[in-house]
Amino acid sequence: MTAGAVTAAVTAVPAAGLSTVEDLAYRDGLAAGLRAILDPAAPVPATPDGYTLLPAGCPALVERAGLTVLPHALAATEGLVLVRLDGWAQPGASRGGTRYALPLVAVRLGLLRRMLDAAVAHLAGRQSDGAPLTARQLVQAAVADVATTLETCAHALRTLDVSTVDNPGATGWLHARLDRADLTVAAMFGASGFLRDHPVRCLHVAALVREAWAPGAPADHGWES
Amino acid sequence: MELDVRLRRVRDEVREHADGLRALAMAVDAAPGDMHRYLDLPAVRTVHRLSMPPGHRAGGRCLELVVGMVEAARGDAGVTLACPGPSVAGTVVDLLADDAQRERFRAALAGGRTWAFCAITEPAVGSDAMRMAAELRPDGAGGHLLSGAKRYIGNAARGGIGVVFARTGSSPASIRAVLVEAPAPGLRGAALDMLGLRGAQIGQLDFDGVPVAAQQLLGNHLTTMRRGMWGAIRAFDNVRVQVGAMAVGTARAVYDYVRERRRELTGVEAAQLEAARARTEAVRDLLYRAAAEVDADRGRGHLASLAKLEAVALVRRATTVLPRVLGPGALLEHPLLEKWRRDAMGMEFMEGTSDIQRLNVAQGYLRRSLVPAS
Repeated sequence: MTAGAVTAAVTAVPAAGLSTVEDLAYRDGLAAGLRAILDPAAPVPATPDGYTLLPAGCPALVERAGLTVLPHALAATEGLVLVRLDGWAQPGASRGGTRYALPLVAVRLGLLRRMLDAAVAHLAGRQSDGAPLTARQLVQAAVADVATTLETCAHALRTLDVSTVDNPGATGWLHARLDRADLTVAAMFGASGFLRDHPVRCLHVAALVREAWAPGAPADHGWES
Repeated sequence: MELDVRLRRVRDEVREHADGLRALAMAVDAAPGDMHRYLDLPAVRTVHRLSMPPGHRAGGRCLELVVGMVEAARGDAGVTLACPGPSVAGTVVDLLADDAQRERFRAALAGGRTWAFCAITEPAVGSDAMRMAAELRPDGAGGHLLSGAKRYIGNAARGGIGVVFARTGSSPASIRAVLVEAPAPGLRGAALDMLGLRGAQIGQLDFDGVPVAAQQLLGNHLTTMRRGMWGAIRAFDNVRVQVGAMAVGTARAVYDYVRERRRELTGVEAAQLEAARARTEAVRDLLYRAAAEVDADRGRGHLASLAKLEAVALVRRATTVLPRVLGPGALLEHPLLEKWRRDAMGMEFMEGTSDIQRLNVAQGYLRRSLVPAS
């Protein structure tokens, strides 16, 4: 797999199935999830200027042909490598089309579910006025919002017609929902979630991966919240 | 809200140096410990000068600091926080210190090469001050010994002077603030590796029997009720508006950055940017009004919470939505936009999360609605 010609973007469901990918990301994290969905026969997904994040050890990084490795300390903490594909710069044209938009939803769902479980355990262990924080209505509302996003996106993953998801709008709303839920869960850890070595950083890095792997127009343009 | 001539001068002066702060943004993010290399740059000196309290007792400075902070953060919030100066501790000193303590604090910071810390938050209880564990025990010679730990404190490792809150007993009135200079026996500071706002050098402070002389205890000249937590709460109101100013300045920075690089816009993009600009201006005005309320000291602290809540929501939207106007992949292709997105996340936690602000807003609104005006 090198920086070769662009092929038609057709969404490919990984052989393992999307629910398996979600479980894998839940268990083993972002890099493992990306390795599972990366198709070695397809072009490496990248931004219009040729930037992308790849899981360490993937074929493109092993071959090292046609790409330049760049430093990115935060991505490295998640086992990812920032690269720029040599000779690829097409303003407005992402590389790889919508192929990974739906599989990446599965990866992000696994990460979000894992982080919500961790956040709830964290909140249950902290007290305010003699009660665990999970007893607070504001906290419960936030947990409910994220749980609703998780179930809605998981349902969409099972029911979306794969033949229609090559339209960026069909998956953009899923990523937009996940963007919002990611921020909500990160906030549940309080300032500890703002430490660079906290596991919740995976959600931030996953949002960066989306920039290259699922570049379609998001449904979430709003200023209403 | 119309600014007077003095405040317009502050705004314009800092705005002139925003580009100088912006030029340091990525370097300070990568290596915040190297900030000492930039202390003589005009932009850094300007932020320091405007943050310093006047030599005489003056009225509230919240509005002035907010006006300057919006413009400085329009350059870069992380670099603004990296500039030496009184920071949050200055607000506590303004509220609780006597003249000698104010002068000591001012003298320590005057050269523009010393940072200040303000230690309230603790590892086990966060910013729930009522459950604070750090303690001041009498040393038998008229002073105290300070023990405990504080976490998520700006300038923890590099601060040369600061304010620490601790308790002398179990009642709420026993919480006191002390002026501490570093280095000191038993005092240890360490920086934490944070995701964003890295210029603030947020870290942990550990106190193991740090000697505190009687003259380091703040508020002895005040009534019991106004000595300790009152100062912390007032300081929180003040600093919440300043964090809001940082958020608005960052939102405006994102807008400026995107607008400069995307001159031809589709109808949808133009509408998005116009919405961003209009909302940013509205929230900035809201912050100015909240700051004026803090200065007027009318006990309407919920306005500070409301302004911070709205400003943080704004910067979260700005750093999520606006980069998309530059096309797919903007967060990888424009590292500054990715940095500002990380910075915005940190603003959520500073001086209380959005949930804490929501509770304050609700309590303020309900109190006003349910208690008849006298």
